[in-house]
Amino acid sequence: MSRSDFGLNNVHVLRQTVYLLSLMTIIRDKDTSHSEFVRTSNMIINMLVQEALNYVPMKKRLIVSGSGGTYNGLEPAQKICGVSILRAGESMEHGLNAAFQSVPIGKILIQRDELTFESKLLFCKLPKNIETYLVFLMDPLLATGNSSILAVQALLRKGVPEENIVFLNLICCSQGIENIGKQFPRLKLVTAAIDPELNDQRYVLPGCGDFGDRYFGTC
Amino acid sequence: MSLSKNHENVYVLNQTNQLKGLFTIIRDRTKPRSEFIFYANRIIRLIVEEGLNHLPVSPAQVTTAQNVKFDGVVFDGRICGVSIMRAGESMEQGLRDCCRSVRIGKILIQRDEESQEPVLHFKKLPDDIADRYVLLLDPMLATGGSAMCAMDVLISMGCKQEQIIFLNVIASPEGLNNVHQRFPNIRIVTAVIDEGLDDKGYITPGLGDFGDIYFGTKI
Repeated sequence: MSRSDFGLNNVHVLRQTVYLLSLMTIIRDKDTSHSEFVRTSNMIINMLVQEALNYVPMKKRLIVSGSGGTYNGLEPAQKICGVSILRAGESMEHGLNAAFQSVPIGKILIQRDELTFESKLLFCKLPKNIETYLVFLMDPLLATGNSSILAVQALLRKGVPEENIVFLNLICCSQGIENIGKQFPRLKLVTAAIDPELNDQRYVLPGCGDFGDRYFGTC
Repeated sequence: MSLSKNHENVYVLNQTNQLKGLFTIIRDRTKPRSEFIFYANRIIRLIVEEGLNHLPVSPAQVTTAQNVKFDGVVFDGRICGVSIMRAGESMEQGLRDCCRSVRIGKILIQRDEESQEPVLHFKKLPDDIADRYVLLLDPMLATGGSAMCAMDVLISMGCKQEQIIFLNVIASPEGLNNVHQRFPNIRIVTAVIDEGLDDKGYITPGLGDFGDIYFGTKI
């Protein structure tokens, strides 16, 4: 894992192995078929979740093994839940479920007006007592960061401490990281790639296009 | 699997002991969420398989490895799933498990706080949806208000009633009547028809709020 020097102190980028880069090549390629996009995205999402689970606080647990020996082990010290930013973030729910069976899933819908680029909160359903959970906030693309900021504000209003939020992301933009980092410096971000800039429509460049459209096949 | 017809165009799964056993588990409010998810997924899979049975087929002949010809069938026409957020999204995976790279559209309908009328808040659908068979997904059919709002959206995008198959877990007689009156040519596939609605408009005996239990946002 490598750290970045952008606004957020806690930005973790997945190790850029050749394998990961080959997967990223597939999802970035505009000619990749729908089914391959889904399959490959799921693989990257699994890698992200595995990395992010290292943020779950652990406590010691002494166990006795089948051969009679003891082992000083660990177990999670806090419950976790996922909160997906609709629509694209929902693609990541399965990755979290695969790692933690029946993890509660909250959903937030934020719409970005494509003319004014302003974002609005349209829908929010979160697990009860979410302030006690470690929250994995999920959105595969982080462009300007405006949607993410609204989502984090919704979580803070429900009492979730900033340091309890781990943002899972596939591709982010340095501008987005700075924007979020300024407002929420204690947030943690786990990402697979940091892209340099945004295009005129404020999509990440080179990015991968519209993730939600490509994953759900609505393009 | 055979099925029984109730209204015209309404298809109810055969009420086997197996199915009743599954429903007993998911209706039981004392069962943990992990059980609800596992067994609901099983019922959803049965409903999806039955729904796919309503798609048109054409004859197709293949040659087996024994060099023998086999007269089979192949499905005609293209499909997509459209889930009515949030609860309908629980059925997406069941559909993907049968149709690997199926396109998934999403519709968000919420009741207006004052008028209690269902209103469209968000939609993302495949551009060519008018050319596809649409499997509309929502596990609970109470008054039918949300379902009919979604069906209106599909019709306005150029879908014909005959192209739409509504997949549902629990339906109320009122809901079926209301939908059937407005859209007599939309087929409905459901796993069970419950007694009716209580004074809050919830299906009874029902199982509570499907989306809240499935996603773990239950009170």
